[in-house]
Amino acid sequence: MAYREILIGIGILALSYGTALADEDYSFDLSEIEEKPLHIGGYVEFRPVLFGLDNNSALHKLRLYDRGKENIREEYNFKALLDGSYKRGTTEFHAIVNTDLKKSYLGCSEETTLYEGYMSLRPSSAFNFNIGKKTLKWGKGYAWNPMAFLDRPKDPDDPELAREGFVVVSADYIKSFDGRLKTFSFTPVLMPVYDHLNDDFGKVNRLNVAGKMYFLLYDTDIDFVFLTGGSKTNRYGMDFSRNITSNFEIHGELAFIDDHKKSFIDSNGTVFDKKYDATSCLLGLRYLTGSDTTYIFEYFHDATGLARSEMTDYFSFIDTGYDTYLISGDDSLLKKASNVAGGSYNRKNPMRDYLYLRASQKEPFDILYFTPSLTGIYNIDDKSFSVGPELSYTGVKNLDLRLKTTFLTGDSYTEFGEKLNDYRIELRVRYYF
Amino acid sequence: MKKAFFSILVVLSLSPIMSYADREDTPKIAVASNGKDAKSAMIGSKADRCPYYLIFGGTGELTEVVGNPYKDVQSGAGPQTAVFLADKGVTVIIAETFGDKMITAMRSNNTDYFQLNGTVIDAVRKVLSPGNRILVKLDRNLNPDSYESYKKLINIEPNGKKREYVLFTVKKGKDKVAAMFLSPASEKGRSTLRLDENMWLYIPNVGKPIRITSLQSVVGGVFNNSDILRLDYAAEYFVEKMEEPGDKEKSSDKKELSDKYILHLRAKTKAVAYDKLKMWVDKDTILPVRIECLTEASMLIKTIYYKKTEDFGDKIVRPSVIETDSPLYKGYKSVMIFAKIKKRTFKDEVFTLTFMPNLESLR
Repeated sequence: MAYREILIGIGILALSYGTALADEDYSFDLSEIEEKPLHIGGYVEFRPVLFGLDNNSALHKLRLYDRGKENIREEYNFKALLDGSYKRGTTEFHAIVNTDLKKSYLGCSEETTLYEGYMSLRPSSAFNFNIGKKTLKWGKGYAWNPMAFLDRPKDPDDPELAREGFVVVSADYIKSFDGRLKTFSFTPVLMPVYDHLNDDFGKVNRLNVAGKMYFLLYDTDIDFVFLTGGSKTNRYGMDFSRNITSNFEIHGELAFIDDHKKSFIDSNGTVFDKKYDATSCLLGLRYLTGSDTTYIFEYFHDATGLARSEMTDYFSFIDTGYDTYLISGDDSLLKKASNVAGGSYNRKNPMRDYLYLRASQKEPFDILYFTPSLTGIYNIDDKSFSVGPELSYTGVKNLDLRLKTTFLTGDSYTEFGEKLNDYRIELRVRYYF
Repeated sequence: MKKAFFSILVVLSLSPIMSYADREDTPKIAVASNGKDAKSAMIGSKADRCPYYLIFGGTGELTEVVGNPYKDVQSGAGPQTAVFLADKGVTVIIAETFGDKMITAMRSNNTDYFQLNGTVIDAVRKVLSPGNRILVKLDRNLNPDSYESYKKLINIEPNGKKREYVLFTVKKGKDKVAAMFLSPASEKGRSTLRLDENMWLYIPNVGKPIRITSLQSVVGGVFNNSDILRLDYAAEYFVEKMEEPGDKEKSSDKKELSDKYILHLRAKTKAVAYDKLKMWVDKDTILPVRIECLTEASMLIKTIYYKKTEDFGDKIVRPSVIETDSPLYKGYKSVMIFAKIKKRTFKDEVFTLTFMPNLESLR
């Protein structure tokens, strides 16, 4: 009954608004704000990429040793991300499905992944309960999040990309206060790791327990997190974020990992394991100038990362393996190096100390919806770096255009010097629906 | 004797505004001071370290002079002073500057504050001025203390091209506002939260809310974040001066003064988006007609026009369209259209970072 009255009311209001505002040429069609239990949205994306290959780099030798040498290769990526939700009363179902199609010099591939799929119960604004596959996205860092213990790592080249979650049971309890402490919330998480369930997270047959406590204290966001349960070693962390002035924000993260096990290889191919307590940290800032330039700057110390000598040994071993392959056709050493690369060496930024800087200028020269940016990642340990100019245009409704170039520079046996590519140019055309 | 004489003087000097004082809701004003003598006292430079507070009643009479018991403590002077004055029933504190901790404590105690300099008498006069009363009334006429509404933002380019955004907005009390984008598809699910001067933006794929500033704009165009997530005007500004019909000779807006008040507002703190506002207020409805947003040097940043007064029901009668243009964005215009403004109470937990991804559930 009440629902029908609301609908009638909306209809009348919609008509009256449409009429009232017609003479101003503004309209607010209230059907736009009608609440629908089912929502389906998302985007489709086409992303061609041109790679300038570095034929002499270690990673080229490791991955493409049995292929012809070419200077330039192209790749075509198609993506469809479907985001749907259904709400009934205080219960909501939410799912994100991602499909990637790739055509590259390595062939064609297709992968469809359920990024998220969970049910939420919200009996009150102070409490909610979630069960299913979900990304938790802990941490305050922009490019890296050392304390995001339950998330897959970000790609620092594109930190805003949607990521796949893990199957968890979680809840949020929120409490607001008057005073210096304005908000407290607690998020307990249970994460089962069994065969076929989160089995890429860590050791299987474990039920992991994690939690996050959030405080808004003295206008500062503060989080404390922990993870225990056995799939990974115990770890604890904290982060903070605060506006020093209205246009200047600082943030940081600290992560303590007990008994971190690191595998690395020497130049002879001997694999070593080392266990130690690792303390990683991140410090960053975001600054907006009067001329609408936004700077994001971060320093990241990853104590789980590889030392300079460990990286050098690894590249040296690849060279040895490649020489052996050229002489005898025996690729066993390269395959061994490749297996080791599945661990620490295969991470986006595998070493210890990095600087990140992103500068973006909103609408320069009065070109509306146009944002040029420049992103740089500097490896402090080996002084190699990547730098990426980028142009973004969002002037057409629901269409997002981005042209991005990344140049990688570094000496021999450095991280960016030994990457597969010298440069990369990509166009991203994304349409939201 | 001297104190009594001075009290009479103060009362007489404030007599023109006494009629405005609402006796059922009279403010009690404490002014930070370096001396006890209200006749000559200047406003104290630091609210937490000043030696005295001169306390005035709602009609401007000096009622009490108290020493600041926390002026010499090593830490926590600001919050303790705020609590001390709140316990005395003080509702407004005036000083040249306040520390962040004292501001937080004052807000917790629902104590209003003004950063002013000059003499104590002038400050009390300003705070009790009819202009400030009008400003509070204007805020309540614009929207209930706690409400929900829908807004459509339209950015219009010089060539007529438009970009539209629809938001669902909720507000509670003086300092809590949240909004969620319903369209276009590229923005859907994004939400913004404002707690006093703290602002965050939540982007679904990025996940964690990131801090944003009041001068940025989540939608581009002429409206910035503080315009979109606007608090009550009286929460951020005070009336420094009000032009009235008697001021016609010196006013630059002689014609308008017949049916409008012209209020000159100043930001209470540096964190507020605009240093000054010049506000034209309709005398009959006590609703804004036009607002010029100015820098400290009175440079015009933008002009906001309130148009098309509508009856939204439940005694909410207010402009349904706000337009803005700016000399800094020549040829561009932004419009905000309101719909379905409705009184509604919310729990404080709605206005938290943890709740930001769930704002949709309030619809």
